[in-house]
Amino acid sequence: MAKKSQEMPDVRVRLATEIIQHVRRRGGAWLRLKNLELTELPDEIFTLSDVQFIDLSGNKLRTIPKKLWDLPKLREVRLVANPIEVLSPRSRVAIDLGTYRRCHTSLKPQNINLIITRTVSEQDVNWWFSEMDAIKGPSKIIIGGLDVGIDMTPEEPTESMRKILDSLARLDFVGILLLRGLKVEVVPGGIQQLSKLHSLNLDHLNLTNRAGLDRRS
Amino acid sequence: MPDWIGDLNLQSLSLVDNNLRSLPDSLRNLKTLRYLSLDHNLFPTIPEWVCELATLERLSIASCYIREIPSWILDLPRLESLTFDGNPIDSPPAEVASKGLEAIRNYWRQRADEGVDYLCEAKLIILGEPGAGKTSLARKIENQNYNLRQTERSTEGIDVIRYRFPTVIRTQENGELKVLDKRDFQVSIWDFGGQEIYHATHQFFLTKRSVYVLVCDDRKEDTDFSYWLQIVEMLSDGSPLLIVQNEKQDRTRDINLSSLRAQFANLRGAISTNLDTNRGLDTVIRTIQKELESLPHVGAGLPATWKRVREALEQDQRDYISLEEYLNICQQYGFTKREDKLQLSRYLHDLGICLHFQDDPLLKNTVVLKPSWGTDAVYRVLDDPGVISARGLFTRTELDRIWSEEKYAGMQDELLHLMMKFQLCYALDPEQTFIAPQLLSSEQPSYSWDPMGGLIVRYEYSFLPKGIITRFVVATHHLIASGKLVWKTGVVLERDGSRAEVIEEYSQRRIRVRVTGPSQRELLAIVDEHLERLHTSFPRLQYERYLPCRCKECQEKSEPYGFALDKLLKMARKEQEIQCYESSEMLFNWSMRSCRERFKLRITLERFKDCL
Repeated sequence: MAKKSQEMPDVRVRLATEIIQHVRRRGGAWLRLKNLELTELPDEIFTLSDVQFIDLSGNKLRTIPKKLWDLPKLREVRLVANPIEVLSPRSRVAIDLGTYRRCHTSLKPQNINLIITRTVSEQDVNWWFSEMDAIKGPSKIIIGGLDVGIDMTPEEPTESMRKILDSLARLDFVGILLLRGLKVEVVPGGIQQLSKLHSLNLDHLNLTNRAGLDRRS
Repeated sequence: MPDWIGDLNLQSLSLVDNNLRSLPDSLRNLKTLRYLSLDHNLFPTIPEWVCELATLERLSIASCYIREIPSWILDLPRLESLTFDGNPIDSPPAEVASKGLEAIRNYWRQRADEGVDYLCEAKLIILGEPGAGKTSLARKIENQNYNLRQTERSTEGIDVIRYRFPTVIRTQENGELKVLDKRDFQVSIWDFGGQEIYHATHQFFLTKRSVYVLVCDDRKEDTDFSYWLQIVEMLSDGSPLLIVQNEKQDRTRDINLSSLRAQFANLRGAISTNLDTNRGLDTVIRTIQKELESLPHVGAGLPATWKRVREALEQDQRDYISLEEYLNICQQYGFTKREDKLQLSRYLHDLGICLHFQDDPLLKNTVVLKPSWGTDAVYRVLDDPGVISARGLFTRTELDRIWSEEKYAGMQDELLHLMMKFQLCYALDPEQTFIAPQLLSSEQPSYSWDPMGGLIVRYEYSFLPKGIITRFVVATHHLIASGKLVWKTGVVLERDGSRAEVIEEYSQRRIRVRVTGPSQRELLAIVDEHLERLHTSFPRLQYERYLPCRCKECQEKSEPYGFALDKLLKMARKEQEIQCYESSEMLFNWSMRSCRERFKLRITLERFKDCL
């Protein structure tokens, strides 16, 4: 376990604790503790019997205590942008490709929601492409912006994202695929090859009916 | 969208927020699809192949351009959820559609079983200052030869006049155009008393899908065009409005029509007429008829049984009937299911044709066939000299006197309940004495206020409709401090040793709220929730919450600079600098502060946001 940050760690933990208490009082389904530089979770979190989703993105967590998975209604924990090193096999998580690379061996493919945003690194993508035929996972993948809304303009995919979009046909293990908030002019043809796909989500992409853009020869 | 999407073995497909107008027909092959989401696109209709998706459970098509939820919705046996808000639905009629999937299915089923007839009626609502000539216009529309008496008595409350004219209407359903000729257009002309006292009830009668006429007297310059145009625009959902200038003694007043039209899209124009000589009256009537015929609900198909019951109720001379009697009339005209009968009364209520409050334990047993019967009774109380001189205080004994006429016999409880439903009065204990807050004294009583450490919020409105504060008082009356810190434009509430002061400043278009005490956050949350509930009864109300600036200069001022709460929070979340626009003092220079202070401010603001 890493040593706690020296600069006023109590303030962040206190804010996190307050938010948790607030969510507990309201019986909320969502708990958001983003960007608080937390190195560990406040104990109060283990009392949230109604929470279904927890977003811990942008903290400094290296692992998640196993007993978090005892929360009766918890469905998923989002852990993007944390230096996670190890995760329990019981984990149901949304993680970035870097974390996936470090932890995939202990995780079940159906419990992982892989999130690929603009921060995805080329090395991680290369690693994934070299290993994916062996790993055959994960079964749920989101490519694009996480916090996109209807009033935002789709973003240009990065080179690394583009590489994945151009090779979607290789992801024949994926059941749920979401492309969100990206500038893509045509629905990537690779999707047609995804035999296990049962849920397809093409939100916030600016798709149009204009002739010529509809089909790829 | 490529054709091959139809070949995928999908259970769920989401295409939210694209610019799609249509989808390839091949999607009909998605034989296992359970969930389809098409929100925020450009679809003009629900794609027809959707009717073939027998496995579909959830369909969402919010914020597109669809006008119709077609009858084939009955062919989707597994459909549990249909989301379509943000579309200009007119078939089924919006009042039916807004009740949800079951109501829509009911409507199409009844149409299939009973045949269809077309709606050909509307409300014409006449507004204006007292003495402008509203009643004269109403009478002249009904009968051009009507003899205007020299001293027409001022209308108290609302008069409703029935008027018919022959018409031909065109209607379009399932892409088919029909011409329906040789029909009578039935109009109910609602003639409002212009007195200020009635303004607080406008939100119940300024209905959607009506034609509005604003009458102004050319001799006087007292018409507050901006108030009338704004209140109509806000409440009527874009219904057309005509200004009729009543020329008395041949004077014409210039109104700046082009500027008003630029502000109000629903303003159709201004016409002059002289009601004494009938000059210009033909044009006024023809224009009104044209607007009535063009209302979107005119020509809407209804199950034939609905139309028959509607006509029977119209012929009925009684002011009100019991629920049992209503249900029997429905039965007589071919209804069999109780839920279908209640759906119709809900529809008639929403259209403003009758009053039936189905969710109210007492009022649900009465269907008021002539809404003006109820409103007249209510206004009699507000207009009563005894009640006025008692500053809005009245007792059951006084109600018995005010409502002594035969037509109110045995209905006093219901009428009193109606007044409370309209948030015009509340009961002081023990249900024997009542207060109508809009008749309260305008003088603010004296009380002490501890300014230290309290919370302050200002609600600023781009347009503040009348009656919000009195309705707020009625809604929160159980919290009024010592039961008496209340006046015409404000109130002090008390709860668990904390106090909230809520004051309307009408001319500034704002409501000021101050809260102080140990549980001030909870009390502020209560105040905000009640205000929010009132705000939602005005569909297009625009307002912003402001927090007062606490820089040195502002602390000394009676009018400190206000920060819009939403923007302030956004700035704080992004740790942007916060500066007073008046004094230019930098209130929060993030880079200068320690981490502890940054988090502290964020916690404070988030907490504040939480209690709002």
